[in-house]
Amino acid sequence: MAVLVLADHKDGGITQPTRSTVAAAAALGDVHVLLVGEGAAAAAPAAAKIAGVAKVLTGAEAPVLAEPLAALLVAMAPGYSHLLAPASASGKNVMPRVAALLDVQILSDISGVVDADTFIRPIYAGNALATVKSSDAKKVITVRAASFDPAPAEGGSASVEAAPTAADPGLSTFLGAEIVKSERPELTAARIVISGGRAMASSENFAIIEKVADILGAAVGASRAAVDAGYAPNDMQVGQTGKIVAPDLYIAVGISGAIQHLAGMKDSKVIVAINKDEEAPIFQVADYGLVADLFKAVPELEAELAK
Amino acid sequence: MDFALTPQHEALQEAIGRICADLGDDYWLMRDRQGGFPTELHQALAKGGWLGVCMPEDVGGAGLGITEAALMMQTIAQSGAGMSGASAIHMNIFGLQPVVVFGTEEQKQRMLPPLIEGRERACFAVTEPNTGLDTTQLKTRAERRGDRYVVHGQKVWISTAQVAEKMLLLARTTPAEQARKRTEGLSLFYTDFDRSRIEVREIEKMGRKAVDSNQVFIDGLEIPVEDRIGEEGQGFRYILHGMNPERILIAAEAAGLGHLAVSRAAAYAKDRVVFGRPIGQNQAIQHPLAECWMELEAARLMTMNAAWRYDSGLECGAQANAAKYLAAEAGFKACQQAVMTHGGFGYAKEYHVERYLRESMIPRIAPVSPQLILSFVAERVLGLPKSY
Amino acid sequence: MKVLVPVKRVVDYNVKVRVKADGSGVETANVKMSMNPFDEIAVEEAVRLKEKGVATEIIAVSAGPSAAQEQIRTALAMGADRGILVEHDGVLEPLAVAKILKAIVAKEGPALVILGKQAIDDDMSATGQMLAALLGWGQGTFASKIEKDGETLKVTREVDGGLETVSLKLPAIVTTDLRLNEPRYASLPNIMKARKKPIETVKPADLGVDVTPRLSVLKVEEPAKRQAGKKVGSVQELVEKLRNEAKVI
Repeated sequence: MAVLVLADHKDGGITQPTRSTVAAAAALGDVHVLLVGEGAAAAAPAAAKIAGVAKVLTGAEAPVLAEPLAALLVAMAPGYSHLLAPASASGKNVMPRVAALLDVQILSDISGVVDADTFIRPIYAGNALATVKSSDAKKVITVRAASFDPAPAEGGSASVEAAPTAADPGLSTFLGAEIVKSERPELTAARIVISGGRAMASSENFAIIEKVADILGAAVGASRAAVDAGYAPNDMQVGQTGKIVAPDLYIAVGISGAIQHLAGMKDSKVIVAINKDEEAPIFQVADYGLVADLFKAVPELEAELAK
Repeated sequence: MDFALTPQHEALQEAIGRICADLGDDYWLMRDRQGGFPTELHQALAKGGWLGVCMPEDVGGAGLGITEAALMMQTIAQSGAGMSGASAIHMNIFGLQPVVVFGTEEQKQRMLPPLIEGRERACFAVTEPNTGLDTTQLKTRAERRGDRYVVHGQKVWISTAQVAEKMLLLARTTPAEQARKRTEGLSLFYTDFDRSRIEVREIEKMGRKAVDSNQVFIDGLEIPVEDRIGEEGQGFRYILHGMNPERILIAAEAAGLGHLAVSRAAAYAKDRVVFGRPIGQNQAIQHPLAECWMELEAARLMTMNAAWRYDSGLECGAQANAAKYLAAEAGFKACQQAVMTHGGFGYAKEYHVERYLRESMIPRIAPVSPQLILSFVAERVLGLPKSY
Repeated sequence: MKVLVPVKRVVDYNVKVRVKADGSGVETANVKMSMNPFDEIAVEEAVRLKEKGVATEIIAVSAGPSAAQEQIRTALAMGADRGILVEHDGVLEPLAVAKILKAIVAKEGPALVILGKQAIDDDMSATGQMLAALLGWGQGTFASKIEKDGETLKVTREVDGGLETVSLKLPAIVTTDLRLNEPRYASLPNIMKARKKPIETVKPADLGVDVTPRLSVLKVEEPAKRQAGKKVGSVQELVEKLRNEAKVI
């Protein structure tokens, strides 16, 4: 039986976490990709080109709400053994609802596929990895993108069809969105991430790491402590309760390295820590540690990189 | 026999722990360097109703016992606040017990709510420069003139006198030679700290810079009769009433400070690698810390035993004194060991343990010396003849 | 309106959990347990709604071992009015908890259920959405702001890249994100009052709910440890290493 991947798309493209989800799904069967929401049709060609995708289905061009989307996925579920989505804000919103409607237990945020019934998922902020076997007939899954190399963006030639429709239960209405426009890459897809912690001391001070980010083409993240203190918005949060990232290079600036934060970035390939506290736990996971005052070191870093 | 904390005790520790967690090590390091009363802690505790932990419910307190107050003080000290935090509120927790027990209804309603709500802070003006622990020989004189008393004299080691709005004062109302008994002739007052008639000189000291200690010179302070607690001449007896709870609380604070030091030292010993292994793998590091932990736990249990006896209305003098002795000595030893475990860094302020060591002298010295406790136990528990 | 707030007993967020040697799970004996932090935010939001006069009664419910009463007491000390403990000693997966909560909702008739967005032990982030599905209610997950507007609830949600606002028909489900509020500390008078508030205890079977797990845990293991690297002495050295040794820039 085929497997269905609910895709995140943006500006006519398919997000990298979705391609990672396709990679995870490919081990389970023929991959069909569902695109819904404004811009779904425009993103269909990109989805069709992803290596390993057999079919692309496009749904309604309207703001995505959990309730009608869940109804649609449930309507489509009989044709699929597994329903997957990236563990993004939208995947985490809708997939548990789908699972409950199908009377199955969701498998959230999987980091490995053992077989069609058995999956690995991190628990306790990634301090333990559980291998779990589902006894449910159908599996509903969200995928930790950082754990799977994304399926190549090119190489596929899937057919594109219209998705079936399902009635909107009419429980909610979309009022609006404020999406921050940024030239920088998405946190979960960036090759380089530079994050600030509580030691940044103010939201204005994030400007110094943004300058470095711009030189490196990096995304900007923040620790939960910095978000809690109001220095950075929540969608920049890296950690157990924020985004999970695994870039080639992660630069932690003024971040002590609470368990909670490490959970979100410790799979990065190379970790750099800049902290004035020599004892900070972040140094225990860092490949390169620099004990220094960030307000001195970060501008120096900017100057050095600009050379 | 049940040694378990109740869920309510755990809730208390949790809530206090959270309040204290807002004031981290850096805060206390700064306070220790610059001085200045830890208003943030005092106000946060007042806001949560904690200053009334063992005050009666009808004046806005929680009506709990010294057991709960001791748990609270231990939690504060152990949070990293040490004696800098504990001493900032110590007096406000138990010090007004004489008012609770011997005050009139009018006095209780007038004096206690502002203290519990954190609008007023009280200092405890008992000790004098020339009498030491021989409290019955106090010289500060309060002379009755119509509806007021006029006070002249000196007090020393008066904590928080720089910031207090109120003072619990013990002063002589009958000259010693005219008093019927040694323990009579002193009266107790709770009154405004009128700075136009009181001069306060801070004493520079070894530790706990945040909570000031002072010499106090009282020159013509007028106290209305309605600020006298209980009967004239019975003040010493009233003060004695608060002595055991005070020993219990200071024991809890000392145990908390000691546990703080041991946990810091253990954490350091786990991380610090010398000669290719953590220093905590060496028994020379492990054993002294283990010994400190055991002694602290023993002292803490004695403290809880004394608190339980006090709250149950049982005689607790021996246990309260023993708790204060054991906890103070164990606390000091633990702080000293924590500095030694850190080696050179233990001597550096930013590792905090040297502050704990300086503060650990306070519960050894105050409110009564270890020697006097030994004499008390020898005399009252073992029935040996009085030695002084 | 009545508000129901589920609270979960979890290993305290400050505890670094250890995997059991036999790989059967993580060590939870003699470990400090607390209320799930996101559930505290949920309780706080309910208490604020009550203070504004929007909520009339707050019921804290926990499904778990009898010790979960402590977390209910914490909720009561924060301002919830009464508690329900659904006592069960084994594993409770989000689907089972959602079914239990559905039965409680049928009994109590709340107009709003506020849940934490995620429990920090199993990190499933699912119970709220599952409960919404089972009840056929609308859901406002990862909320950073909620406002009641007549018979609807306006929920601002944290989504990738920013915020989104939806309007939900009541009754509805909300799950809390970090910035919804900052939970208060229980005050002493409220801890005292909480002692006297009632906690009712029921069993899943009393509610007619089958809580048999759907997942079997084959093993639990520690993730690969990361080795601490080296300290560099200067920014120049750092950039040189990143360019020539790690080759990531």
